[in-house]
Amino acid sequence: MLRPTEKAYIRALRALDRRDYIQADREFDLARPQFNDDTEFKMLAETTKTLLRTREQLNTIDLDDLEIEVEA
Amino acid sequence: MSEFRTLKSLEGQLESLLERAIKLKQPRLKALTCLDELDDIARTLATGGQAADELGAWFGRYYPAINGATDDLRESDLRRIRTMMAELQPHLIRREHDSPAKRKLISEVAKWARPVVEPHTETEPTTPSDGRRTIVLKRNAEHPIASRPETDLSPRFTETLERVTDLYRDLEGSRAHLLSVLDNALTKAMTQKHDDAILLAATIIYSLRMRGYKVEPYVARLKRAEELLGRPSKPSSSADWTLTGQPASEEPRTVSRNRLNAADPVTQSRFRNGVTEAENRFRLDIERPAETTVGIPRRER
Repeated sequence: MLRPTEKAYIRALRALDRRDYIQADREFDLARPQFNDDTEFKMLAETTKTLLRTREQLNTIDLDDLEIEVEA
Repeated sequence: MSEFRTLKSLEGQLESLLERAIKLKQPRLKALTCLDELDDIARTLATGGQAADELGAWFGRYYPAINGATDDLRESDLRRIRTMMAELQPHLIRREHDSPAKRKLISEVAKWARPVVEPHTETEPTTPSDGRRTIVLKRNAEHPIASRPETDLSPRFTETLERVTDLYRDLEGSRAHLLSVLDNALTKAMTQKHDDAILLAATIIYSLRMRGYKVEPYVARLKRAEELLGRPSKPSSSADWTLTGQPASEEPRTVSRNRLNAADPVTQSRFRNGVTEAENRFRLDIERPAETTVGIPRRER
């Protein structure tokens, strides 16, 4: 049978395929103990994490402070 | 506004990167999903649940793939499928009133759960009257070193491992990169005809190969070192251990010396032009792909 970490990696890839980045990040964390040395795993997991952090950062920007520019 | 734009741009680029990466992995994802679904079914059956219908549906979805109609599954995937089938087989109980569909399913699982003869064994179609095949296991002639009692082998192997580890530490020095150590080991093996250096080089090459690196040029150097040591590999088997990481069915990318034969028009042309075999070997060596390909992980099939 597959190891729990292997199943988590597969679920992470399927979540990425659905663009469910929050779920993918959770599954990557579960798979990390086995695949942390794998270059491809690290690329996918870290990119997903960075994307989520970027979104968090975007949510903290107060939209009231934004100046709206209208391009001609 | 500038920070917002930067973050938005970064978000878009990261999303695009992940989408393209997962698009490239679609065939592999399909194979992994196939394994994952079968694993779920096996787990359900192992815990006493009913999953015969799900198993039937699984066969329906993946029958072409598992029977080689598509290239989605690797040999290692098929081995895992066989292992899982063997694990779930005892949980599929045959009953008198089973439907024909279930009986067919049970026989299909039994077929997949059967152990497969490994490629190392040779089968001879002796086919006696009962139609059974005889498997004959053959091994090469014993090396003189193997004539010592078996009991000596284990401590001697431990000693060898320790010597090889020491050699690795010596060669590693301040160089952090494994490929530098491999390069040094091969140089030592060739210039000093050093047994342990050959073992170390072979171990590193195999380790790199297991991690998906292209190792052909290093294998060629290792073979030359072995030849210098007076242990030429058999010409007929040299193509089998080139560690290309490609399945045997695939065309190797490097030119094999085994292809030099009198019937080959290219060979005929070279010999007509007065090129000796030694020159041919040299020519084949320099025709190998540039070593810059080393270190680039193999692409997913």
